[in-house]
Formats: sequence, structure tokens, C-alpha cells
Amino acid sequence: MRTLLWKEFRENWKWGVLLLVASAIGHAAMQSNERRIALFTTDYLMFAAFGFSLGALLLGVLQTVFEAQRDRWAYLRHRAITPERILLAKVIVGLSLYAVAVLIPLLLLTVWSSIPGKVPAPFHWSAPLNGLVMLLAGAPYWFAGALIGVRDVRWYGTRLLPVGGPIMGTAGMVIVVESVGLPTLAGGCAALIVFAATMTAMAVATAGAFRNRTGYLNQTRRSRWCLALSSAVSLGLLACAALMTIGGTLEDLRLPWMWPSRIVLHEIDRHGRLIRWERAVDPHDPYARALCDLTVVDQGEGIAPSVSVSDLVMSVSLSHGRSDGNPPRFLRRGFGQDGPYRRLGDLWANPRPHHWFFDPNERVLLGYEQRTRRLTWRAGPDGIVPADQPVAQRFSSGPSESVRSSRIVWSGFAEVQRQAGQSLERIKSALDWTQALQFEDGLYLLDHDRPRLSRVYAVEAPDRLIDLAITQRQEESAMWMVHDRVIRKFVLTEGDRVLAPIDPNGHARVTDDLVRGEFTIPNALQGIGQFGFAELPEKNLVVYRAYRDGAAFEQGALHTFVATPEGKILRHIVSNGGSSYHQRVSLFGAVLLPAIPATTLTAWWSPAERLSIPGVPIESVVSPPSREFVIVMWASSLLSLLVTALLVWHWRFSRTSSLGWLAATAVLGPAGLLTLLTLRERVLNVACSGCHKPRPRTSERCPHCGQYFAEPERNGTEIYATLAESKLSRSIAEPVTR
Amino acid sequence: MTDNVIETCRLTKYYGAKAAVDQLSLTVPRGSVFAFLGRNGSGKTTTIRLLLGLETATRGTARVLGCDSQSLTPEMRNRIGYLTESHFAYGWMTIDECERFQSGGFRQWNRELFDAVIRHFGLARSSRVRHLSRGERAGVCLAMTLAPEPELLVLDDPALGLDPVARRALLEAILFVTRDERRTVFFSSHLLDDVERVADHIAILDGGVLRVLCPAEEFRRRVGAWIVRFEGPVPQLPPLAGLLGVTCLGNEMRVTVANELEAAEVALRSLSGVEIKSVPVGLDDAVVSYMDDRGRRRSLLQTIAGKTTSEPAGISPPDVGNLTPVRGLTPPGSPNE
Amino acid sequence: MSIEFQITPGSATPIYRQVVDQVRLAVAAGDLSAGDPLPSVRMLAEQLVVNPNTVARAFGDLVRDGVIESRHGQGVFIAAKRKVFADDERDRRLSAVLDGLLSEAAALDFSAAEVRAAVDRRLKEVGLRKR
Repeated sequence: MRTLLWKEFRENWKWGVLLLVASAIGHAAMQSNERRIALFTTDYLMFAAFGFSLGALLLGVLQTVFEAQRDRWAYLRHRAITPERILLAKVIVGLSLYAVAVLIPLLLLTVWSSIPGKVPAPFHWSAPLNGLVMLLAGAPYWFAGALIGVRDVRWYGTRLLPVGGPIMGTAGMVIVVESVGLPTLAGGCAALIVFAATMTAMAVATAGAFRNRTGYLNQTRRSRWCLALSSAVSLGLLACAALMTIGGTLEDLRLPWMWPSRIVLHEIDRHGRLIRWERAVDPHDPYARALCDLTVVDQGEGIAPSVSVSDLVMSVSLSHGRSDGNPPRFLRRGFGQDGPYRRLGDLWANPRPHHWFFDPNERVLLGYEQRTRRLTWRAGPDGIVPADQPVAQRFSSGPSESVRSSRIVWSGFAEVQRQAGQSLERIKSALDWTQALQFEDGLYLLDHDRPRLSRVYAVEAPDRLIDLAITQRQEESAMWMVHDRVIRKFVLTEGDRVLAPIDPNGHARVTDDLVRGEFTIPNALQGIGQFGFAELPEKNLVVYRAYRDGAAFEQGALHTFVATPEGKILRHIVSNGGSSYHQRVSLFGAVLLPAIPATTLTAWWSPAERLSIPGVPIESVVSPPSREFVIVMWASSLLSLLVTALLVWHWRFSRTSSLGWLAATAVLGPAGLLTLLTLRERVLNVACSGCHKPRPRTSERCPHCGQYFAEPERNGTEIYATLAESKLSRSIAEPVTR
Repeated sequence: MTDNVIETCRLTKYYGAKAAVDQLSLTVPRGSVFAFLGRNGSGKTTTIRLLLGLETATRGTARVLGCDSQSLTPEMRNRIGYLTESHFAYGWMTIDECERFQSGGFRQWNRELFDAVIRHFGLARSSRVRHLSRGERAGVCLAMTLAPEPELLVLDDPALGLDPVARRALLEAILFVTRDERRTVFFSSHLLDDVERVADHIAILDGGVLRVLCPAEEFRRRVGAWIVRFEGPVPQLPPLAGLLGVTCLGNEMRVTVANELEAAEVALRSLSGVEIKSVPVGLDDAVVSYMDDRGRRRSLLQTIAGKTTSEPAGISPPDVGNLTPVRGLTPPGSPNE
Repeated sequence: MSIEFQITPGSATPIYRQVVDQVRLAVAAGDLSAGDPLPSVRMLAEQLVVNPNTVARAFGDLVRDGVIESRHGQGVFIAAKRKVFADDERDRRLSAVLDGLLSEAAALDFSAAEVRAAVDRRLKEVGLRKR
């Protein structure tokens, strides 16, 4: 074993060095934009996901493909060592080289980022976690590469099939970590479990291939199943890509009966109607369909009124995510992609004098100076202090902020100021660098440049500010403050008249005398997606919000309320807001989706209603999945099951094999059938000389009549003689000499 | 009692629709030097790879040292030495490193033997394999195959590409192995002179089919040839059991026969030949006659002559294919009935 | 007194036959006399680079024909010329060979005098005992 390790290392250390160099260059390139810690960003996550996987794959291929030439393989294979140990030696060397190539630059970058004065952003010890998770996710690709290198298959397409397994592993890792989150113990365990499962499956498949390089049937059952599973994923993805390309091309042709992938939006139109709008992905697609007016319909589907795009009012919500300050999932969510910290404002194109962050543990704002790249300021509700001084008071929660709406908020204020006589240049410069931050205890404006933090709207505990929205029309522009139990409408401008007072800092303030309406709302607002208001001609206020049940998937139900200005709720309508799988995925995807798991999962996944208002019945307008989609999905799944059954019977599989393949097609859908067609060798049948029925070439006796295969033709020249038949003796005159 | 180190039973391997090895049943007794002969592409290398478990058979079984070929354990492989056709060794290794690598793969290693072979070929331990000539590399591979002192040596065309000195060393190595009567050598070759020297059993494979399997002397005993001279043109040859080949040159007809030698001589004497003479058959002539497609093929010179000159009417070499009876039976109505 | 074996593979004569013929010729020519040792089977095989079975077979034939003898534990030696066959058998064998010789000579159209002369010439070269 030691000699094997030595030999593997001597042969392959140069690939390890190349990989290390490439990884180092990649990491350096990631951090070349020095204004953020690259390890937290989505870009790095993508680089890690693709780059590490590709590196491991290439390493696996390079370690095996040269070895797989016939005599060279025979030389390696024929020794007193099991093929599994040969593989083990390769694995140890390969994964070690891979780990070194990835870990060294990763750790160096981590250490470098942690040095104060290098990056104007706060550092957290969880910085290398994204990279480490992707390191684990990339390792199974080594096995895929080894399978590609070692398998001796004639058709080159099938060589690449094993890549599917690790792809599934990466997807699984991402999903699991997204659901559970990092850095947590549960997240780490979940990542390790996915890693172990994927590695085991791929290792089993590779060990089988090392024992028997050609074919599929001559491998052990376990390795066959692992290989088949891997291949099924690849084939599914390939078929998916093919169909989507076809679908996309046909979409471009804009045939009306094609139903491409849909997006569901809820908007309020000028007439105050809540519109459920399903349209194609392209936002400029004028072929929007099936608009539904939820405010006039009791149950079931809506009638399609004629609504044009220009009727839609921009309903603006300030909040766009969680307001509880919890750390984001995959360490790159949350704004600005700065790990557990929340970056306030985007990373602007031009260098800014300061970078501001929210620290969810300390619940203070952190200000880093671009020039020195060090922490220079801290801020609490009372204002900004230098970094070496303690903050008097901390925020009670994290901020909600969306740049787009922040600018709109601010432009609302800017409009106020312009009308109040402030100069345009001053307003413009302030507009660029000032940001509206909505905390639970009020609305603040942060001037990044000076820096300065001021509160324009205060909320006293135990009341909380949940959300705020802006409506801007020619007649009036208003700010809607959503508290725990009450929504207050503040009118800032009426026509040309400015109503909001300007405070000494030059900011407009939101004071109680601006209130034009107050509405009580149902309790327990926990997560806010879309949020908006409109006033109907009958003076009813329509409020709607999306309630997110799970952060990772937009599966939440949409609750819409019709209320009077005084806050009495008249109607409560629940619809499946977001997008369930059958609306997102186009009809072409329906061909590939396996029917049984999809139906089971969605049945389990239907959102529960969590809100109800006493005295108001809930009207449910859950639109069923489109009929065509369900028909196509079930048709294709059943058809592939049927074809699989036919093939299995025709090719005379054993009982276990037949059941296995039928189960695979039932679970995986048409991808299972594709795997059966590509992976498993055809057993050729020839006509039996006895009974003339087709019989497989691989069995000695005919399954019908028991006849053996005919011997090759003899013509009388054959000489078959054993030692006993010939007259040979060896023992004459041979003394014992040595 | 001799046991068999290699046994196959109806071993068959298909590549696509063609059978590279067709219902091969052979046995290799312990202690023998077994030569495996056949044309290029007749299935020799495939058979060897099947025996060593490097390929999977379509059907049939093969057993080596009593163990099924598909499931050769490391202990079994330890007792088998295998020399690949291309004399493979890792190019980047020095000869010393080759020894280190190879000895790590086997339980026992005879260092002095390895040294001796290397010295015989005049090689330095520090030279790299990629700088060696074909013959020198063969020497290294031979050393690596002999040093673990295996019970069974399997050599796939070991003399391919070797100069006469290296070939001689190879033969001597085979003889060295036979000093221990429990050790067996199984090798394939085209060099019939070498085969004649060292082999005591031969097998001939033609188109995947085993045509001959017997001790070497038996083979010589069972093949005979005659030259029959005619006054006029050469007549059609009647059906002859065991006919291996017929060549016609002018007025003379040379007939090679296997197995039924007395009957063949009787049949030939019954022709209207002026003279009939029995000629001795060398090993290479006998072997070649097995490989030339059952006598259908003529010599190259005849083929060229046939193409460039028109043949006189009435004279045509007998088409042996039509005359060959199936399964050793002479068809009824033949002259020698 | 020793013998240089020269074997030619690929000829019409089997190798063992060549060894037998060469030993016989050496004895007939006087290169080897009774009591001279021959190499052991193994040593000769390795010297000639042939399979030991072949050498064993040759030695077996030679022992059967009485040309050599094997002494237990000591090896193989040239046998003293002794009567292996009875006189009748010797006469019969010589007659058979003579018949062959004379029929061939007749077919080649040699006269009796020419045959006698050829035999005499050959006898001079090969050393049979005079009486």
C-alpha cells in the first residue's frame, strides 16, 4: 500500500501544484475588489461551487485516464492487492492534493481578511465556512472524474454520465444549508451528512468500476445502483436542458398556445383592485394573461377583466426581508453579502468615504472608513460616536432597508425639501449618500458621508414599527407606517403643498399632525413580503401582504384584506401567492417531472393558514395547478413506466432487476427510462439451434429448451490429445541434479 | 497425478457480433511449458486477459490455479506472474524504483534474481525506463515477472520486438522456471523456432476457435505431408478426411493431412500419380497450415501469378473448401469408400 | 573426446531426433567411445536451450537402442557395444535397410558396380570396424 501511495504521489503531485496555483489565482482574483470580504460574497460561493468541483473532477480524471490504457491497467491491476486498495491509494493522494490546493489559499485569505486595515468591512470567524462547505461538496467530483477516466465504454456520451451524482450532492448541500443555515451546529451536521452520503455512493460506484472496467452488468449490485442513480441525475438534467432550450426557442416564437414559465405578481391598480397577474418571465411581455380581480370574486377562479400594464400602480414596500436581525442562511444572503453583518446600502461604483454595517450581535451600526480601512465609527439610536467609545444605547432589532425604496423614500423627502427651498445640488448630494433605515423603534436617516444619523420618526416601546411604504401620486404623496397593531397614514405633500416640517438637520420629520388615517390590523405580523395600500372609490382600503412560511422557498400564502378606513376588516382572502412548482415550471418541464414524488411533495407542502380574524370568514382562492401541466406530467411518467416495463420483460431481467428499474422509473420519472436505455447493455439474443426461439448469448443453456450452444464447426483436422494419450515418458536417465 | 493450473470450459467472448473467443475449452497441466499459437487477432491476447480476470467472458468459465478467473483473490494473483504484450513499465521510474514498486505488490521477492537478470541485460539501476530500448525494457519486465517466483507464468507474446539476444535470454528464463517442476509457463508466440525449442504442449487458435491442443510430439506425429507427381495436369482431389492444405505447382501436388494419415496415403495412392513421396513436415509448416483458413488460401506467389496471367483452361487448383467434409465424415459416394 | 551438439529448430527433423542422430554419428565416427560421459538431461537442455523433455526423449531412445546407458546416481555414459539384438534380428534389420538402399539405387538407375564403389567410399569416411 505504501508503494502505491508513493507511486500515486510521484505521478500526480504536479497536477496538485497546478490546482494549487489555479486556486490561489482564483482566490486572489476574488479578493481583488478590496472593499468587501470576498469570502462572504455570492461570487465567491459560485467560484467555490464551480471551481472546486471542476478541480476535483479534473484531478480524478487525470489520475485515472492515463492509467486506463490496456497494458498499463493490466500491469497495475495484476498484483497481490485488491482493486479497492488501488482505488484507496488514488483517493488518498487525490483528495489530499485537492484539499491542500483549496485549503491553503482559503485559509490564507481568511487570515489576511481578518487583519484590521486590509478590508473596510467587519470580519467574522465564520468567513471560511462557505468555502469549507463547497470543499466538501466538491470532493465527490473526484470520484466522478475517476469513473470518467476508468470506465471502458464505447459511446463517449455515457462516459460522462457519473457527473450527475456529485451534482445532486452539491444541490443537496446547498438546499440543506439554505434551510438550516450556517454557522450552526445543525448546519454543519447537515452538510456532513450530505457529504457522507454522496461520497459513499460515488465511492461504491467507483470501486465497482475499478474491479470491472467494462460494462455495467458485471459489477456488483450496490455499485450498479450508485452508478445508475448518478447517471439518472445527469440524464435528467441533460433532458431538462434540452427541453428548456426547445421550450425557450418556441417561447421566442411566441406561439399563443405555448405556456412558458410563469411568474405570479400581486399588484394594485389605479382603480384600487387587487390584481393577480400571471405573466411570462420577460417583464416587457405584452402577452400577460388571466388577470383576476380578487376583490369581486367569492370563490374559485377569476374572470379576466381587461387590464393594461399602465393601470398598475407601483406599490412600494420598504421592507424586503426579515426584520428580526437573525443571521442570514448561506452566509451570503442578507444585504450586501457580508456574512452575518448587514451592509447598509450597496457597494457603490465609486469609492465611498465610509462603509456602514449593522452588527446583529451588538445591535449597533459599524462604520468603516475607506481610506484607513479600519473601524472608525459606531452608532446607536442616540447617534454616531467614534469607535473607541462605547455606545450609550443599542437598537432593539435589525434594520429593514431596500435601496430602491430607500431612494424613493428619500426622494419623497427630497421633493419636500425642494419645495421648501433647499438647493438642488445640496439635495442631490444628500440624496446620493443618505439612506433611510427602518428600525423597530423608528425611522432613521443615515448620512454616510459626514457621517450623521438622525431619527425622523420615533416609536416608543412596546410598540414596534414593522414596515413602511410610500405612495406617490400627483394628488398626494404619503408615507404609511405599519406598527404592531395599527397602520398610520402620514401625508407629506398635497398637490404642490408641502406638509412635512423640516428639522434643524435639514430632514423632513414625520410628526403626528400629518396623520390622515389610522387602521387597526390583525395581530401577529411575523414576516413581510409584499405590502401595499390603495384606496378604492368606495373608500375601502385594500391591504395585502404575503406571509412567508419558509424563507428558502416562496411558497407562502397571500393574505388580502379589504378594510374600511376605520380599520374594520370586511373580507379576508387567501390565495397561493408566490409560485408553486407547477406555475414556475413550464409545460416542457412537465414532461420530465416525475409525477409521483412531485404530487406527494406538493401535497405535503401546501401552506397552512396562520391568520384568521374573528368574525370574518376566510375566502380561499387557491388556484389549482394548470390542467395541462398535470396531464402532461402524469402522461409522461406513466408512459415511461410502461416503456420500462416492456423493455424489462422483453430483455428478460431477473426479478430483483425488474423491480429495481420499475421503482427507479416511478421515482425518477422519464430520467429512469433514459438511464435504462443508455447504461444497461443490451443483451443480444440469437436464435437457438434447438427450439429456434431467441435466447441470450450470455447463458450456456437455452432458457426454453435447455440446449447448449453449438460447438464450432469441426472439419476433421482438429487434434485434441491429453498427456495420457500420447506416448511420452520423462523419467529416463535423469539423475538428480540441481 | 498432474493437476491443471489453467482450465477453461466453453469460454466465449463476444465483441459486438463477432466472437473473439469461441467455446474455448483447454487445460494446461502443471509443470508444462505451454505455447499458445495463433495469428494476430485470433484471440490469444483476449484469452489471456480473460484468464487473468481483466476482461469478463460472455459465457463459459475459466479457472486459474483452481480459482475462478473473475474472482482472483490477491493471494492467487500473488502466485501468477504476468508479462504484458507491450512490456509495460512506468516510464518515469528508474529500474530501482520499478523494483520498489513491483516488490510492494507481491508477498515475496527474490532480490538476487532481479539483480541477476538486470545485470545479464547490462542495465544500470539508475537508468529511467523511458530511456531504455525495447529489448532492455523487456529485460526489466522479465526481471519484475520472475522475481516474485510465481507458480504460473503467463507471458503474452513475450518475444515481440526483441532482438535475438533478448529472445535467447527469454528462452533461458523459461527454462530456468522449469527447473521447479511445480512451476508452469503459459506463453503465446509467433516465433515457431522458439516454440519448438522450449514448448512441450501447444494449442493453436484460429479465428477464436481452438484447433489443436496436444503435447508437441503428438502434434508432429499426427501431421503428415506427401508430394504426388502426375504426368499430365493435376486432377481434382477427392474428398479427404483431415485435409489441411493442398498446393499445386506444375505437375506436382503437395497435400498436408492431419489425423487420418494411413487413410490419406491410401487415398493418394489411388490417384493416377506417377510418384508419391512422403515428406517430413516441419513444425512451422504444420502450424502455418492450421492457420491458413483451412486450406482455402494459396501461397502469395500463387495469388500474384493468378492475377497477372490467365490460367489455361481446364487447370484449376482444387477448391479445398468444397471438399472438406464436416465433422470428420466422408460424404457417401467418395472414391475411397 | 567430446561432442558438440548442433541443433536446428524448424527443420524437418524433430530436435530430439537430431540429438539422437548426432550421438549415433559421434559414436560411429569414434568421437565418443564406451564409457564417455554425456551431460545430464538438465544441463544439456539448458546448454542447447531446449525443453528438458526433448533431451529426455532423445536419451530415452538412445538407451532403448543400447547406445548409451544410465548409471544410477552418476549420470549417462556411452554404452559398450553389446549385442542388444539377436543375430536374426540384426540380419533382418540390415536386410531391410539394404532393400531400401538397393531399390532406391535401381530407381535412380545405378549399376551394381557404382553402388559398391559408393558404399566403399562412404565406409572409408565413417569408421566401422574392419572385421
